[in-house]
Amino acid sequence: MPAYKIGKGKLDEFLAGIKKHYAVYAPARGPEGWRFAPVEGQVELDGYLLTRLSAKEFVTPIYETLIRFDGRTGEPARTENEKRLIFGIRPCDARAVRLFDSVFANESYVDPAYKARRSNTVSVVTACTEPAPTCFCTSTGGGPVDEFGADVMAYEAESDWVLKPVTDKGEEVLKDAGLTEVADDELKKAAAPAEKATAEMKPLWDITEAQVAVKDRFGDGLWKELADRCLGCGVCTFVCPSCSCFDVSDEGKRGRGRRYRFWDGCMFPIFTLHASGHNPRESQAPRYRQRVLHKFNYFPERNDALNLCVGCGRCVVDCPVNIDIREAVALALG
Amino acid sequence: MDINESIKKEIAKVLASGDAEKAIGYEAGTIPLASRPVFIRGPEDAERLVWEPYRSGGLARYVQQYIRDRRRDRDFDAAEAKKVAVVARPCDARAIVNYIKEKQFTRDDIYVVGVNCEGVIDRNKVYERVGPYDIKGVEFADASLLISQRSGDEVKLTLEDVLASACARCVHRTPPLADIVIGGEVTAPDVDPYAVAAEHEAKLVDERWSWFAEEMERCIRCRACRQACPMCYCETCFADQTNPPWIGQTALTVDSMGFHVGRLFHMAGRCVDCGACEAACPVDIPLTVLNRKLDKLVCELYGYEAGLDVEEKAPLSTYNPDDPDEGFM
Repeated sequence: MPAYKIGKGKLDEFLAGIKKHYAVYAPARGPEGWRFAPVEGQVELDGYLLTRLSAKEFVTPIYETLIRFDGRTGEPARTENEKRLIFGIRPCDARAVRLFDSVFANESYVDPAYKARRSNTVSVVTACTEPAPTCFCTSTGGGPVDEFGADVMAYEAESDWVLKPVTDKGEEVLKDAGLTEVADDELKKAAAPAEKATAEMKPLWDITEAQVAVKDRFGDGLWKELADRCLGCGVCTFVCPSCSCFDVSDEGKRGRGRRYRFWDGCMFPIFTLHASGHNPRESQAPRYRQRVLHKFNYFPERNDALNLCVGCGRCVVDCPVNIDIREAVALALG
Repeated sequence: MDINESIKKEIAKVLASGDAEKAIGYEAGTIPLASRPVFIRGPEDAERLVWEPYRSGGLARYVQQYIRDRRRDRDFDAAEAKKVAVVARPCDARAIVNYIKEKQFTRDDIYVVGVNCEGVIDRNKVYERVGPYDIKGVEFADASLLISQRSGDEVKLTLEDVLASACARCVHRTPPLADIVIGGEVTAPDVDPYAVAAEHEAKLVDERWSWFAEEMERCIRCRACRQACPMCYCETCFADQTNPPWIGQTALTVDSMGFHVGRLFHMAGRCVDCGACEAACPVDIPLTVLNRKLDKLVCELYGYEAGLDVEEKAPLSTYNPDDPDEGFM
């Protein structure tokens, strides 16, 4: 598949063309910081690195209705089947979205609502040239030019965006859009700043060693030391692009109502509370250990060593009491 | 001796004397603008303590949590129990006053190293000017922050620009309860501590409602506000009732409103306006505005302000024949 380019000044026009077939989203400034918003008019990415909340809402919304019931019968809720294109998603966020496939669309189970959203979403990933001090994607298997979750990779050159299709879905969007094809050397040149950023982001650890080390320290006092200050809130799990846990609840009146699911998080004490009143994870220490081990051991063990933490740094920045997952893994490594 | 050195000295002293078994203070964080809670076990660890105008939540909640958990330990012997020491800003000390009033522990359970307070920085206010991922480093000196940015540029913000809202209006600059107070006297600003509530009241009902709805629309129900709040210590929160659920768990505006209104009601006459909820919020919701409204109401109806005096009876758990009718639901 050839790569294409489009003049920066033409981007809005290009996206407007895409809007005929897709709902188009891009980062925009909101009251809490950058957020993904429907594109209306100009896309302005100056100063954008990461959205405050991740892109996971596109495939696993914060809440969604599963079934509506009226006392006698229930019917699956309709999933919105909007075709959409996200312009400006970062490699880490796109990677996390693809990792969800192992959870929601695997060999033994396919979640229809997830599957529909995922198939209908095209991710145009903008490579990173100036990572933040809290970014550590090269330590978790990704990086500024990581194509793992991308349908299209977008590199910002001096006066153009160079767009490289990665999947058929990506190619589909680009091929008939009247873009100029570019040769390999031009693509390479456009990717150079992001390649340079990759080289400069020295990994904090050897990821294979880290994945073993966290498990080796399972019974260690380390987790209590790290989690003593944990508030037990859901910030880390909710801002995390790759946390996918949810809970299910019913609501209604006189037999009519709905069943819905909503984000849940392993830092909440009630996450593991049994109906009997027993709680197998009785304090924040085993809860925090679960979070780290799920990201760095349990998930990779079951999914070809793919690390579940993608190194975006959101939990590092947003934890109200500065629990830093980089520190946790580094301490586990000793 | 500067404040930090005095804190280290006092904490080391109370741990070395054997009067306290543990101390809670702040240590340096791993990213700019973050001091974080730390548990100090022995006098030699007191060196870890720092005193910066940053705050990760407050420290009072850890005292309540620690004493509660300790009491549950099968091997716990109340007769042998030692004190828990805590470094306390005035708002931490006010929360501690509330805890004692609400019988969570007694005055003898704690050793309070109080610190006179000039306020802390609200990182969300910094982020409004320099995004969270754009900050490379921060230096704090002479009441201003020098921030070096990802782009290489530097920006200078004054403490006034980024002081937490709760701190900017705080008139309690000295801990109302302490075993020792550190730091010189801090003059309280000449402001109406309820101004934000008065401003809110001055709006039309529709405006108030649309403001609330707009702010609530951003809520992701992460419960950080509740968890950071020193006065939210219920064993089972109304919002965590599951059989049946008492409120909807979605992030629909109506459900988020239910959650926050529920919290607000439980805070009336108890909120110490520490601002921990706002500081913890990952989507920058000005959570203290409505708390202030309730505080103002309690102040007007009962002439009461939470957390100032252990002996003073809490208005909502006391009945006086001359209580105003407006106080009855």
